Amino acid sequence: MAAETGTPTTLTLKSNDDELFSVAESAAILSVTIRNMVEDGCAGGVIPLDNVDGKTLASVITYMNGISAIPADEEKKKSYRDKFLSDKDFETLADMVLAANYLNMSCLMDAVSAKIAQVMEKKSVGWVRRKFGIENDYTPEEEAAVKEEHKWTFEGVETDDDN
Amino acid sequence: MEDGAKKELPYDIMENILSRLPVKTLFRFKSVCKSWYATISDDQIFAGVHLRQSRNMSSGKRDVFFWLEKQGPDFWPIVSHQHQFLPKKIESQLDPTVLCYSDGLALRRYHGVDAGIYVLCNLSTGYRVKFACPCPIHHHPHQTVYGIIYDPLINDYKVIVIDNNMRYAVYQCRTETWSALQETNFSWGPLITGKGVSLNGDLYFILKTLEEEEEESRGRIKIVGFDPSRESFVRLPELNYTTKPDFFMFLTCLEGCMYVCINHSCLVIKVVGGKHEEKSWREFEGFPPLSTRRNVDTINWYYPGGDETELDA
Repeated sequence: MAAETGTPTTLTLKSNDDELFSVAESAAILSVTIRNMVEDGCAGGVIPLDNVDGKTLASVITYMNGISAIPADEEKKKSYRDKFLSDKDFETLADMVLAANYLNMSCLMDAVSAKIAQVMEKKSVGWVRRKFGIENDYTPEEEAAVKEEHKWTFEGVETDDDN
Repeated sequence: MEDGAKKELPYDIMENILSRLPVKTLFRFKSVCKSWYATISDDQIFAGVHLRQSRNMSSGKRDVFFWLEKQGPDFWPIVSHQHQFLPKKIESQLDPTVLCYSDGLALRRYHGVDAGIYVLCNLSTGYRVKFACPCPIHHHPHQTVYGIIYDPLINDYKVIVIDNNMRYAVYQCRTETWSALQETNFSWGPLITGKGVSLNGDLYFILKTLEEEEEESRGRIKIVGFDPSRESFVRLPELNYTTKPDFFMFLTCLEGCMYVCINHSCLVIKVVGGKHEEKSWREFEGFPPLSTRRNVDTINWYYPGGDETELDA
């Protein structure tokens, strides 16, 4: 291997609950938000990420390191993403999609959105309302009419007692 | 009851997630709240997003299936699970046949004098575009063949029409333009049939050749590919089959595989690799998965008064 020509640049990221994380610049710039800060020379000290908590940021950094270690092979990157997301629960996925949006990481954003859609696919209307904090603004009559309109879509829906 | 933390997501993120859901789930989620109803029903915005993304996951894996149902003296097209996809008033003006289907889009056409006018319908939203074909192309119900395919180079869907004189024209849906009428240059005197099937970004047609040197006077069955970006035809490797080909044959795509069915016995399948020259065929015994769906896809062969009993064979 070539001799060291200098240590790779490391950035320090700070979550909104004041946890500090070190991450290689080459991995961190997967986030367009961070890349812009680096390019603008604003990344000298600690980079505060006010919309991301420590638990989520740790996860995102794991992803950054994992995906940037994979050479340009879309198949392998995809299988890494699938594996990375496979054990995440709904709450974690929702936090991650918000973080990916804030950090402007389109590949993570796409993967997490697709995963959330996959989780939602067989869920009930009640599950969706609870998990996303959506208020049912239909009157009972209106709701019955909408359901009647697409009656067949209520077959094969999972029961609500899971997460 | 423990509810877990609820996660309120901004509208654009939520819309992005919704646009990845299959049609059935989307329709169910119309009853979540009024704003979801409006989003999911929004033709212009949501239909476009949904189509773009349904393309990535479809490739035959999430197809919608059609059949005709006799209602009084007429046949009506039905989309899977009894869902009828256009209001009756519009339906009554259209030919019940689905000319071709891809990524949640179904191509239909008008009856009678308006037979040269097509309707491309988004099955998830009911959004439809109407366009006429100016080319002097024949619109014979049994001898004109259609296909829909996405062209990633121009980010648009293309409708291809091939007539019984082996000429074809291509329509770009977003820019609403037709290509000139071109010759297919099939040198093998083929009889093309059925409808185009899209799989992994290419469009495929089944045809029967009438080559004189063939021992089997009834001809041989071939599959041709259509490259949407170059708008040119590509001949695929020869099929190996033992069933004697009769007139009845069709091509369908289910769960990511292509199926060639001849006289109700399913044959040779599967397209491998990304380039035409790498593609190969795999023998397959029995029926495609969900054999009732296989029938569904073929039912467009059967017109009112047609012999339906054959479907149960």
